[in-house]
Amino acid sequence: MKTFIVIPAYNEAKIVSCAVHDLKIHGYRDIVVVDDGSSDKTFEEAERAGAVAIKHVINCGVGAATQTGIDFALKNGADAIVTFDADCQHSADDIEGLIEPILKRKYDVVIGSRFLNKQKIPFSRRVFNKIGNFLTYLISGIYSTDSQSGIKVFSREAAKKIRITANRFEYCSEIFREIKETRLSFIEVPVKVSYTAYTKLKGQNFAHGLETGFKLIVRSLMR
Amino acid sequence: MNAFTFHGFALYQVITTIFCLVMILKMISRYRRHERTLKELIVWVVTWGVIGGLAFFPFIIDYIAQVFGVKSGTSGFFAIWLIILTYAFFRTFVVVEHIDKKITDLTRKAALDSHDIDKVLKKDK
Repeated sequence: MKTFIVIPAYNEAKIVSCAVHDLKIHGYRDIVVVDDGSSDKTFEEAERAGAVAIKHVINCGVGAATQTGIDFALKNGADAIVTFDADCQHSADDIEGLIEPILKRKYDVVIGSRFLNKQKIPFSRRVFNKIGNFLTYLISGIYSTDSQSGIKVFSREAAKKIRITANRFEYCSEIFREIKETRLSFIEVPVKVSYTAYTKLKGQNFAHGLETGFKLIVRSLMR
Repeated sequence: MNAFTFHGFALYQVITTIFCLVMILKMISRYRRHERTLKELIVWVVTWGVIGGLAFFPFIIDYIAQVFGVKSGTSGFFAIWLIILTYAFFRTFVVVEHIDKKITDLTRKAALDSHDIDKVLKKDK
């Protein structure tokens, strides 16, 4: 089974090679880094680390970068596609367990959940995630323990069906709506996460969270 | 000076109701031309219907004003325009989102195409 790892990255020059090396050590060869219009050397660092690097000329958002990576993977014959954060907060160790349900053809989508096992997660992240889960439930009817997770696996068929139209962080919730609408099966599998000072600075802050929530609600009304 | 009335309706009621009716007809026409989905049609017909309804039956606004503690029901006119401005905001939001999506699609396509071109150029070397 050909597995592609898709890493959306924006100004992650300092750390993107860490994620790529971790994946390489675990035997993953097809790694695609989508540089989402970074102003630093993310593209060059990703290539240097041995990943296939694709560049958006302008910053479109993590949702758009993820869809570009998925399209690339599909075009190059991927059977399973893993989305992975560039900031090294996830461990490539977890991927095997995440891919298993896809390999056994039991599920179409696997969500890596940070909240199924007890681990140290900053309070603010827990709160944002709860709000994200609630909004996701409102728009999709699916309650996930980690709707904003960056680590997910899609079977080829699921990746073909799911179309990400939301550009920024709201794409995470959109995926659940797509799962529901296209009647795909999904499961949550626990994953480890490590928060460093760097990763805490990245991701969603309160203003982003509000914007994401607002866009989700308006988009749902306008559909 | 006496306020202008038409069959007992105030000028703002007449203007707002006509405006809402025009907008509803416009949406129906767009739906028939397949430029809007059924869901969009329903959302906008309901939106304009509510605005028109509030203009036609201002006692609803009086009631809402009382509930929210606004002392005078005459602010109904402003309330209606507030709703229209809210609509304008949402509409602008949707248009901006639409343009944003087009730019994103273009950027994504360019990224994938340029990667393919680079691959061919590297092979030729």
